[in-house]
Amino acid sequence: MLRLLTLASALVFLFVPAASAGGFGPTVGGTPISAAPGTVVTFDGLSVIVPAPGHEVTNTATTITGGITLQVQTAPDGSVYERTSSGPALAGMDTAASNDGCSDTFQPGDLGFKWTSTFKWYFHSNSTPSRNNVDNVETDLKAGTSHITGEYNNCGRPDTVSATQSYGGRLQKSTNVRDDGGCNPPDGTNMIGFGILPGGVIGDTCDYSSNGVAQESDMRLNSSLNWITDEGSGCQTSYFVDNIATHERGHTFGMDDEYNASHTELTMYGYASPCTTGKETLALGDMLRLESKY
Amino acid sequence: MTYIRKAAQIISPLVVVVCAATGVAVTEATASVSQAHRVFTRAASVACQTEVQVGSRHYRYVHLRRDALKAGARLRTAAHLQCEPDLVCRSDGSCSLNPNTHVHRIPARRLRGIEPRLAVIDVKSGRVYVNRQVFPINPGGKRLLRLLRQGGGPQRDRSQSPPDSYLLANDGKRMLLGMGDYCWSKSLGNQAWVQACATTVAPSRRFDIPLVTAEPSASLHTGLSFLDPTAVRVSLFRGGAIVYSEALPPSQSVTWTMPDVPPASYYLQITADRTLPGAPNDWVDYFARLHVVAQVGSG
Repeated sequence: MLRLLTLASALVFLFVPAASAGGFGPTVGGTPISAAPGTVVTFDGLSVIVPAPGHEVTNTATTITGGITLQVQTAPDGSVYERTSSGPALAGMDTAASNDGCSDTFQPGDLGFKWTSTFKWYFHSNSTPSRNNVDNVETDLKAGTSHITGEYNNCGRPDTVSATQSYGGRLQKSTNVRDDGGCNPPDGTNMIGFGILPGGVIGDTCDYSSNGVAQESDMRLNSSLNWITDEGSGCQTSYFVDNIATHERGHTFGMDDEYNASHTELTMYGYASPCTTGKETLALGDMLRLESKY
Repeated sequence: MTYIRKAAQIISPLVVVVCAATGVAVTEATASVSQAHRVFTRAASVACQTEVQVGSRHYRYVHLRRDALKAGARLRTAAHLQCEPDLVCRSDGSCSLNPNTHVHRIPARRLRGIEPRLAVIDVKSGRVYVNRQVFPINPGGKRLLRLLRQGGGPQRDRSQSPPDSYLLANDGKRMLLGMGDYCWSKSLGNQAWVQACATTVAPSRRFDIPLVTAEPSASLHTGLSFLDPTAVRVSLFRGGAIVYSEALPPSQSVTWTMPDVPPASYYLQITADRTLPGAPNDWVDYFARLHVVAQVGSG
């Protein structure tokens, strides 16, 4: 199942008095630029007209894969400052696997351990955020795990990975991942669930291994973030459970993150953005790594 | 995708400028405006009016319901509207931590029931500012309130995550790098290991990523706080694309020279690996925001 990405593109101009500029926005300070009120300033394809003294204008282009912000402020003395953010664009490289994903042979790194037995796991369903439907979350978690072991892809590549997994069902037991992101001692049960994590952490996986053989893997998704399971439900700031779960399960099965922006199609590409689904579909490099391990 | 302005007439201080995505490229003449060489100075700019410095802590404005929190006692330390400190590195080899100039002092107080290390309030404007190191992202009104009342929520377990690393100024002062994703191992004895892998919010969505201003050919010094890294790589990103990447000799103390990239804003990523005998492979990413400028202003 490959979600069809509608390239929903929104372009927003906000024009406000600079004195009221606020919000928990980008931390980049203003860079003075040589522009006068009434002239046009551009950044990465966005443009704004430099506002009158004492005001600011913000232009934000939002696509399903991210966005770009250009903010221009004119100080009361007429000096002009620019703030730019290609934030979500950096993060927004988390896109659906493209044709490139089927031809790029670059492999994510190997964490150095592998499963030699069936990975049987359980879902701490009571930890599901109240905003989410437990059944839907369970379905997405199951999908995320099987995407790794089943080499889910849109390249037409057959599944040759020997790693296997089985879902043991719902179990009301906490994961071994602590609130601070650390790992409790292993308890022999592979759990997945939601819970508090340090700010800025989306998901945390604790992998236990011995002599290169995986023994246990627990995963926690940050309940302080917004999560979503349904397609086409107006996602704005939520993370798709399936998307993040597939990436985290990549860690469970011993794959490393990759950050080279030439390989954004990889499931193991390190950045994850809200409202993106590209990690659900394995790219050729992900599959080659899995096939070399299993 | 490119956009062009359809109608952009400044009518009043509160006007929405109508625009649309047309797919038509912006003209070269307009595009050149922001490409001009810039002198970078952050002193006393209007951009700093959403940032507050109290002692060594830096806070950022966050919108909260007016009646959500109440002001408490006075702060012992003066609070100023002030841009965050940035590390300024010049092509002459100097690298210094620039505290930035105060915009003006504000009447900040504690918030009732909340530690001042977490948040403060400007009693005149009613604005609440939160410590950006404690809250690298804004989790939203209700969750933020809950975390404020719970002491800021959990912080990273330092025994099972990579240590903090820094960019270094010439005088030895340090700027904490933002930590990104990592996989980090801990021995359980008898050749058994546990590895914690954290997937973090992208740096562009975080508020704890420090700022570096650098001239081309400036030298940047990085201090990694763990022994024997096996690989170190420095990369620059802009607009979602990697524009520069260099593998450096692995060392705890890494110095590299700014490449000849156009003056612009980038993300600086430092990836470091380590391999403990018999352990899974570990790695960590550190981040900074990087403004490359033709010449640093006197600011």
